[in-house]
Amino acid sequence: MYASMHENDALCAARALAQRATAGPGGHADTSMLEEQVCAEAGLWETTAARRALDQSRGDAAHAVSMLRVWAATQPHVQALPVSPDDVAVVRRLSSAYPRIPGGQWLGLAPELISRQLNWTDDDGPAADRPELTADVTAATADAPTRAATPRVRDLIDIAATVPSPADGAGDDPARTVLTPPYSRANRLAMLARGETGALVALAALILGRRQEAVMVELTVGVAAIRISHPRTGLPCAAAEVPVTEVEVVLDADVDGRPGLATGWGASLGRVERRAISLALLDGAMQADGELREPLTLDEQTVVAATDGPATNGFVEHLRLPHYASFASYLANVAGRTAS
Amino acid sequence: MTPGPQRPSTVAALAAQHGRPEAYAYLDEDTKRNVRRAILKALAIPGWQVPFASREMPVARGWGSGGLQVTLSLVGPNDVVKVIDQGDDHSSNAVGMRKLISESAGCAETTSTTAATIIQSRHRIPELDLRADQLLVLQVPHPEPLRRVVPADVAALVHHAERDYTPAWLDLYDAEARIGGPRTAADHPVLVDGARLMSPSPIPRYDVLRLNRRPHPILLGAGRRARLTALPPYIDVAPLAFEDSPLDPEHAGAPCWRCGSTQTYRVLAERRWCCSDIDACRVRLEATTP
Amino acid sequence: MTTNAVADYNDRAPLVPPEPVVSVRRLAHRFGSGCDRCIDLTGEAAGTNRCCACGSVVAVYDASFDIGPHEVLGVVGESGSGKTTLLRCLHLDLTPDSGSISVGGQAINRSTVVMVHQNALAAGLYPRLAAESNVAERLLGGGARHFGEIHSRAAELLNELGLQPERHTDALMTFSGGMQQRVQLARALVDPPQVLLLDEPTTGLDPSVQADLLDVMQRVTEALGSASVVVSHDLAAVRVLASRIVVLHHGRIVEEGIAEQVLEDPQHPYTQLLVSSRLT
Repeated sequence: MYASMHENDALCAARALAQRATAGPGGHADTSMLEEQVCAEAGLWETTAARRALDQSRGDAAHAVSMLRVWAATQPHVQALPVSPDDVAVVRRLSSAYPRIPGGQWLGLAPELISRQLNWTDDDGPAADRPELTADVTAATADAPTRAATPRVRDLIDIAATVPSPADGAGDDPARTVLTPPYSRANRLAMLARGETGALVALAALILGRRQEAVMVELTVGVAAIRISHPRTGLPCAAAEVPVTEVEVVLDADVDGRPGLATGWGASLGRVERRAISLALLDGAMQADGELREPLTLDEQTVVAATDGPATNGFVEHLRLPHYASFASYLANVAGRTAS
Repeated sequence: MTPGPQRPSTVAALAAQHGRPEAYAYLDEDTKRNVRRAILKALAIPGWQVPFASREMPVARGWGSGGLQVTLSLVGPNDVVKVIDQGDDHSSNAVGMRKLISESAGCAETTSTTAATIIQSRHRIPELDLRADQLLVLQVPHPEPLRRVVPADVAALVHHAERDYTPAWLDLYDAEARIGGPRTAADHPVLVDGARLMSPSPIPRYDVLRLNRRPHPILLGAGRRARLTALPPYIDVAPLAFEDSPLDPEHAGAPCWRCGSTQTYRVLAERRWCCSDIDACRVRLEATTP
Repeated sequence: MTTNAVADYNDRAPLVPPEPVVSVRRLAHRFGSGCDRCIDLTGEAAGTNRCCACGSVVAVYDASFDIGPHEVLGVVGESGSGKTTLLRCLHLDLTPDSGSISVGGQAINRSTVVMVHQNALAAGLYPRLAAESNVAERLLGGGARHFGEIHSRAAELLNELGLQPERHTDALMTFSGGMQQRVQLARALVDPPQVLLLDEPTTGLDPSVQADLLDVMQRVTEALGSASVVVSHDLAAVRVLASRIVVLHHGRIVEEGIAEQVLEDPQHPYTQLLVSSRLT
């Protein structure tokens, strides 16, 4: 432990020690999802930079996120055009609310199918057990339908009254503006979209435990083509292709004293799906209860449950399982109450 | 493996002697013993949540690990296992679990309700009535029926011990007064033997109304929360309801487009109503088709 | 005080009821470790509750009184006089160091006492549930399982207490403080307790609603037949509600008597100070 904060021999020795440690061998683990998570938390899509940051920080994800943000702040900023739904190629699409949806359910690269049993056999190579995964996700998009061509599952839910979502504009970039509360919904979403994954999941699990009903209406993993205006001609041209996971959920809510639904929406860079699911749950919860919101007490039970990683992660991700039988029951109840 | 001079003291050691180093049906003996004892206790106190040492399973927590541990603790080589999710045998998670069970237990698997000896299910009860020799295992996300009115576990335990379910009745009263009926859709709490309040898992009301006095045991496993509840055969199970306001089942918008039934539990798929229990629908269709 | 008032009083209730519902004998409670000089160093003569030798606070000392059926006892005194401690002992929130409280000849227990709090949350009511649900809770706790019957009874009680029918299903937290107290009173009426405690009923309320609330409380205390205690530093409220008054000063009862007598012709200098400072 070096307690000195002044330049002196102790500090030099500590630096030398840190330098030597980073030169270690490490391994050749496939860290694609960790890279995507680091990019999402940094708010910057560049997986090679994420890999480098992870390497230089010896696998410390939080440190790597900081490194990426520091680096991003030094890069020139170009205003991108809003992403058009025609420019988003959908590579995975699920709904837990209905067994079949117009446009179909596609598993795509399903993270839940990756086995949880540790495989010690190395003869087939580490890639054998995993589904075909390319770091370059754009290879899969050749014949994928666009978001524009794929109807939204939420439009199927017409039977229940929904809490009206506040209409606000495009929002600001948290990397370039200081956002202060009270936040518009767009700004809140922007800030949370760069949130630390564990924190998002822990809060979302707390919400799930308290709700009557929570159903994932649609999960879409797409590749968005980002366009910028050409510096000379001004025509929009593609500058990057970024994978984005978008999730919409519905939660139970009282609408004018009758049972109804509140929709929540969340999107994250990359394909760490529990981020987008958590963001959607948080968004939905903040709209659902209005003034009758129950406060959250931090007692022993809540704290222990919220910090149990496998439990909270599993619980939040289990929204990807089909829920259509129980959801149909909720809708029937809502319809009955509205009619009475 | 060379057999030692003394007899093996555990099943695992015996299995290892015969070239099977993995535990039978995936779970080690200690876990199986813990789960079986919890099941016996739960059957002796119907509706009471019995804690058990829920293990990390290859299925994530919240994905049915509890139900899976119950099945794996009870399955034998002569069993025939069926696993359904929302009533569908072919849902990817159900398929994964069925394979895990049948491979690790060396038993047969089926999609037919009548041919199965153990049926593990998420969110539905099979619509073909089960016989006394069959076992139903349900996957439970929230075993505590008081979770929304008494969030603290310790306080809820006191309510159960004293059989004081006033908070649940109050919640039901408030909903009845303000919206004309309960807020719960699936997972409506039930009173077991007139005394103990239990969560039946997120089955629709249609299924809640079919729990009463069944000839077979029903076991409910919650892996993430590590609790087990059980309903022994012929136990009284009634939904929590006021005397003058009985629970109504769900009403579907149209008959099933496949088998034509108006009596089954149906869901909407691409704007068409169809039975959620796939096997029962198939049986009905075969019975009506010449 | 006119002779008519005395005659009215004699018709109403005797000075010492023959069969008291509540008997409090030598109630004493101290906060702190205490020493053998606490009693001497506190009280009226010392002019303080706090023992200067050990720092303990003798909140209540040697309090004795009886309350008969249909009687309302007012407990008055300034802040820090011991009113709250006395109330907490009566509500069994606090076990007194010494002394006894008996109800109907037996030791007091929770099931026989109901307190109407200043704020509904402290009373254990449910702010997010409907007003009628808060009343229904007592019926449900008693085993009622017929919705129609519970609903009629709750509605009847709320109507009696002046809550409009169209508001019965509104969340309790949407009502004003005075209306929330009426809901508490409705709850008490479900199953009349032997002892009813009213904690600062008019404090924090708009003067315009105080009169109505007091009127309602008066009707309720008469209807219940319980022995009631109203603790307040609002003498006007106590005058309306109470038949008898005890005056607390530094933890001791310094005066006791018929309400009108004590308030119009106070004997003790502290009571005189209290009354004169409240003249409006």
